[in-house]
Amino acid sequence: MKTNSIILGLALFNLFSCSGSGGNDNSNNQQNNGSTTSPTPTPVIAQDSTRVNNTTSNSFSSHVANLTDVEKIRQFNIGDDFFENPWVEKTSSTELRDGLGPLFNNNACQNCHIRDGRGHAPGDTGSASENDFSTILFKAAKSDISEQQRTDMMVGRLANVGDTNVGGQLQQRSIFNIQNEVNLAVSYTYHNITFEDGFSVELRKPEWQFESTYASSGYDFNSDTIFSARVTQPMIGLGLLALIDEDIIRSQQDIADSDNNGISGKANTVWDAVNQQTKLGRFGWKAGQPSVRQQAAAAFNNDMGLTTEIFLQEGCISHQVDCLNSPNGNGDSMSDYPYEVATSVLDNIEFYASHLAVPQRRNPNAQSVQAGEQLFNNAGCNACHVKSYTTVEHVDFPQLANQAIEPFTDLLLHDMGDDLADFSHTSIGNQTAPKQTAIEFQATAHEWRTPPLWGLGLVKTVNPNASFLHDGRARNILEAVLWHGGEAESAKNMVLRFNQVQREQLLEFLNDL
Amino acid sequence: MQGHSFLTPAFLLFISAATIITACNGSNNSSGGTSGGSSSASPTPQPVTEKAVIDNYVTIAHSAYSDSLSAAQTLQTAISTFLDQPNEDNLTQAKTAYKALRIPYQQSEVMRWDTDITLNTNTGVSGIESVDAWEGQVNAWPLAEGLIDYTQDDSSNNIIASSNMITKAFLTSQNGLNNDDANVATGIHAIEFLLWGQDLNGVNAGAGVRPASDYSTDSCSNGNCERRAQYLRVVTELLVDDLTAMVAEWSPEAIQTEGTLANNFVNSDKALAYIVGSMKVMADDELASARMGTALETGDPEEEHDCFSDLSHVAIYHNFQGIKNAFYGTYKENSGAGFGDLLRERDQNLYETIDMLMINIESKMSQILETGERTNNTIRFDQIIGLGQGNTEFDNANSASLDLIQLGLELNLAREALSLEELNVNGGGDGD
Repeated sequence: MKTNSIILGLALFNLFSCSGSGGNDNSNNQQNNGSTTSPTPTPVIAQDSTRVNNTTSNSFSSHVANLTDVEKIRQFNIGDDFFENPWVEKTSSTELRDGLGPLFNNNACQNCHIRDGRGHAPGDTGSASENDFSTILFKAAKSDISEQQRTDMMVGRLANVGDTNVGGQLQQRSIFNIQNEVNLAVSYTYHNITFEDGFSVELRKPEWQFESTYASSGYDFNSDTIFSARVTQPMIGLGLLALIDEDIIRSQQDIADSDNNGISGKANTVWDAVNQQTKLGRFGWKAGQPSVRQQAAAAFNNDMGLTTEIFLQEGCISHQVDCLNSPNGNGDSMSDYPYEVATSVLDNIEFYASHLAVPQRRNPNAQSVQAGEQLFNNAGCNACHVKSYTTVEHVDFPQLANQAIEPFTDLLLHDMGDDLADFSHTSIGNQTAPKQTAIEFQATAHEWRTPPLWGLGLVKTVNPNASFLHDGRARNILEAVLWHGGEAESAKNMVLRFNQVQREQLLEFLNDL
Repeated sequence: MQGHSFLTPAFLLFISAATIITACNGSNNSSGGTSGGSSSASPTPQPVTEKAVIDNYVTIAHSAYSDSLSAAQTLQTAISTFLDQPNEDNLTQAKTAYKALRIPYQQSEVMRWDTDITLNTNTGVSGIESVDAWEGQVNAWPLAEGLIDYTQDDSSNNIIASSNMITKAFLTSQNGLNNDDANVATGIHAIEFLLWGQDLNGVNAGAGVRPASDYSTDSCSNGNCERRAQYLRVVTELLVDDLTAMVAEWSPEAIQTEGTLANNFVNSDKALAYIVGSMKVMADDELASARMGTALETGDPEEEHDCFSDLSHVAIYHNFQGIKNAFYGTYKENSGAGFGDLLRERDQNLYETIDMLMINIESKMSQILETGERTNNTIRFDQIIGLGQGNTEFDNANSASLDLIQLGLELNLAREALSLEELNVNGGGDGD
């Protein structure tokens, strides 16, 4: 207990030092300077013993380094097996793995989370991957909703109201003999953004095109539906993020921007379907999921059409008769249960997803990397991309507890500006949704959860096609930085004053993470 | 043959723990060693070169693939005989030939994780890009058998019931149909399904019971017998083609030919890292977890890979032999320098730890094999799955699986002891 409070104290100290302007931010596992003598025994400084030394394309796929129990490693591997291998339609064999669809986006977790890493937007017009919508999906939420529904969203009892004709998520694929929901396409428009020294970067803005396959039978999208593009995120470190003290996350909020620094920060309060209560949202692009387990179950349900003990309903709408009548994969050859993913499989997936390790930084002590971090802090990036925490106790996942982690996120929602906002789809094209439109619990169309930056430098090693930001429009890290708007506008403008050397140092730092 | 040591060319398939001890010492090219590292006066082993280990590995690969090809040709002959005269005796002969193929092929599987040393290398004009890219057509699992032929639930939505021309090209084109990797139309498990049919016995004794009349033109059961026969003929021919191509990649001539897998391998500076990395992932990820652990933990007999034939005990035993082959440098009568010989020079204690683990696992895997093969009170792997903890056979299999995880941890230490880099062991593509 005593050790724990010391660790917490250190974590808080780090928070303050991060948000200070240009403070000398030593990570707490590097302060090992024996030159000062201390009168009392030096407290044990927590370290992150979960990190793995791996820089291959497989670097996001290792279990945490401190997991040595053979039964636990096997559980991780079995989770990996179900994460990687395809789920199949209702058949009479491999019953543990059946029930895919009827509607789905992809048939295996790994096919979206490529090598446990990040996905990508479809390629530019004319490229081979032009129609590759395998690692991106679109949510669809009505904006013309009742006061009661809005209230329910604001208190965390309702995520949103899905489009009445296609549901809350567009599924472009379906099993044999079932009609898929949508056909998707994208085109990009290009423009340049220029640094003060004249250095210019080309940015691309996507124009998403949706065609409902039900339009001709009278079931087109609702006219008030707002669409939200979501590229898959890396799987690393999720179990550690789950163990950041909820009070610390909430204490970072500044919803009314009372300190007048232009940055608010808002925690999302969401529905915890496991415990049937509201809880802090941590996972997903809008922090709409409270736990790794529920995030996984939601992905099974929405992305693959698989039911779990948490989500028992397939996503068929009343007019999708073929979908409703399709056979399900409930139970397996050993026992009957009214859902498709056995609870033991969900347990293993949760264990797997929680224990995927973050790779070690390659060169954190290099002068240029540290200079880059200084620039990062000077520009104010660390106001949202908060560097370090110490994880809390956890009985079931002891390897993840009491770790001094450096995820570079506050896990809060921030307004990222008009350019990145969710949108409606009209005959004219994608139209930015009104600022206050609630999309997912309290997250508005303009708000996104600060993504963790750890592992950033290996993203392209893991998936060479990976692209950045929630809709994958940024083809590299610098483009992602330059798309930052809204609350991040001033930080971006600071970056635009960087000269060549400073730009390189900033990227050296980000690529070292 | 790089062998400078002597291994009695016996007991290779059904080795007892005792013979393994002999094998271990055999690969140490010493005649006076005793088991378990307890010897005090054995002569100092000759230094082993990395080249000797790498060359011997190619020799083993060539032998294992050649034996697989030979077994596949025997299977092809047996299937041809069966299709000419589709009676129960000939079907039994074909099943026996299938089982014989599992013995060498499963030992070759440790080769699979080769993408880091093969991708982006010169593969010639028509060569195989990598073992990993090739293997899916030959041995993919899970296999959604409803794509191929009738199942308990559906007799109409499958290739045999369709009107498509059954050719090698057509079957290959059906692999991964609708972006679903479980749609597998070719390879060993497809043949297995066509010979046995579905195993509807759950965790009870009994494999699939496809009647020979499923291939009879006179008294055809379950319809489409000619098309079923055509399918079996074509898919077997494709397997022989594929194995022929793979043998060519590892032949003595291939070693000298730029662009072959063998040539890339002997010239790769990652060859040793590949050998130890493959052993590790075969041990802990594939064999311990995917092939044994998932089934044992979930209790679902459909999680065994040879689920139609109930020959998983043969398959997993020989997957383990493949790991041992790579470590000791042995395969059947061939015995040469192995990765373990290099390790012993660098870290004697770690070598002995792994050596003891190998002996321990061999004993447990032998019990699985023996239990599945004995004539009285036969217990096959799918029955073991259903027995649950507290049962001797279940606990033995579960313990073997967990020991294989431990082996993976030790092999990782061995990799580090030899300062070898960690390679990508997850295959070349998305969702492998």
